Amino acid sequence: MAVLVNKDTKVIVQGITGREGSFHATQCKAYGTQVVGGVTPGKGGQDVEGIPVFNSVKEAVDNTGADCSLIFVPPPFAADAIVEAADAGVKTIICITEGIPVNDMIPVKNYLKTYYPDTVLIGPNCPGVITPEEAKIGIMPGHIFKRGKVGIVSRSGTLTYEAAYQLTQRGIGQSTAVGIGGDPVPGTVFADVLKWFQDDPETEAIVLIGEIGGTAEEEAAEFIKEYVNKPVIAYIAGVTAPPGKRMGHAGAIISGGKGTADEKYRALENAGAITVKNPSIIGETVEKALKGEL
Amino acid sequence: MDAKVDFDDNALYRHPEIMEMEDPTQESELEVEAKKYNLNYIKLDGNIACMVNGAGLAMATMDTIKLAGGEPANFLDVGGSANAEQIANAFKIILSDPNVKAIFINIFGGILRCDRLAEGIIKASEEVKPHVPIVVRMEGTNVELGKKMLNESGLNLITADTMWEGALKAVEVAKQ
Repeated sequence: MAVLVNKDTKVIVQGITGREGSFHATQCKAYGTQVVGGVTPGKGGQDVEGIPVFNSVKEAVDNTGADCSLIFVPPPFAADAIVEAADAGVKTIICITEGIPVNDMIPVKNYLKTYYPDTVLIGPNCPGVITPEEAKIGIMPGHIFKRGKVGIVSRSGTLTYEAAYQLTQRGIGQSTAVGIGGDPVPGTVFADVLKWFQDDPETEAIVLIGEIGGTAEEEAAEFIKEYVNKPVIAYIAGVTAPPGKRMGHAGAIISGGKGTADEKYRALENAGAITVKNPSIIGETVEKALKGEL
Repeated sequence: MDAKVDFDDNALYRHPEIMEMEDPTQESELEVEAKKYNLNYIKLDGNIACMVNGAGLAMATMDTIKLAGGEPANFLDVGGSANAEQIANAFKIILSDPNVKAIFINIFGGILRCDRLAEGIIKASEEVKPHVPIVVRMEGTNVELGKKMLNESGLNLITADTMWEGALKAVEVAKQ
């Protein structure tokens, strides 16, 4: 099972002829992902390490039957790239690009909601999605993941790696890891992914990694209370972050006293999640939760 | 009545007229300097500097320093593709803060390989000559090779296996 992506997922890479696009397309393919094509307008007919390049997403989908797109298009054009993928019928769109203006993302989100309610957008500004030993669709280092029963959902790339590595070292595998990204207007939020993991029979516990800014963790807490009965182990980064400063991610800012780590921890604790204050013991805590010791 | 307006940095390229309004004298000098090198740096009041890849891990490292009984001197995300030059620049920035008594480097090498990082730290240390102890925790791709390079470099580096161990060591050496 696992969620969202698996060995049958057929992926095209938008922006495949760029430095990042070509490197990661090749890496994903080497992991075993079905990377069936790429898109760069004006470079149709070329290939990148044997992956055929097309001029448009429509052309790529018509020729390859792709159902997933991985986007590395530069920020000024990335919003259009998402819309192009949705219009071409791609069902899962994963956007790695960091730096898309908020004012570009709001109409994209509304457009998807109105015309393609079943299309899933992951990101932008995220590491992507991996179902270990089946498909890696993103920029994460594949070798630190191992297949198993823990779902990971995170706003941070490197903290996803940190959590996965701690689990793998303890022999605990992951069903799927979903990086939802650090932007203020993400395509997919915690609650969406929590639902997938709750409904996935392979997933037995969920690691949720949040950070300061916004209210996504509070909404996740509400959803957990209502819907999730699997153990949720939650860590929130940014307890020491000063207010009013953007901490690297566009969405990671405490503004007007709102969006603090303390608030988010409180909401998650009230919802019955197991909270972890020390990020080095995420793996240990999951192990205990799986044994029913927490 | 109080109101604050925030501009979206990611959209500034479309509005040169707003960019012209920027007044660097209103920002921390080190933050302005860091921007020139494309480093994501925010100065804080503590004495343990940190250098990390990734925004989430950088915040988590600050939090861990605090949990270990110390105070972080900064937030610094060197990004996913940091090279020797970036690391040298990052060293220069964090060492210009007179409060800094120790440096904690916490890198999860994914795409950025640990041997490359080690090379960067060694080169940067030769160039910048840090005057405070450095604790290094690195994990991920080619970690064994990276650790070997650091151990054989003759530099006065303290290594740690986990973020927690690294933070404890950094807090300890900062007190000396």
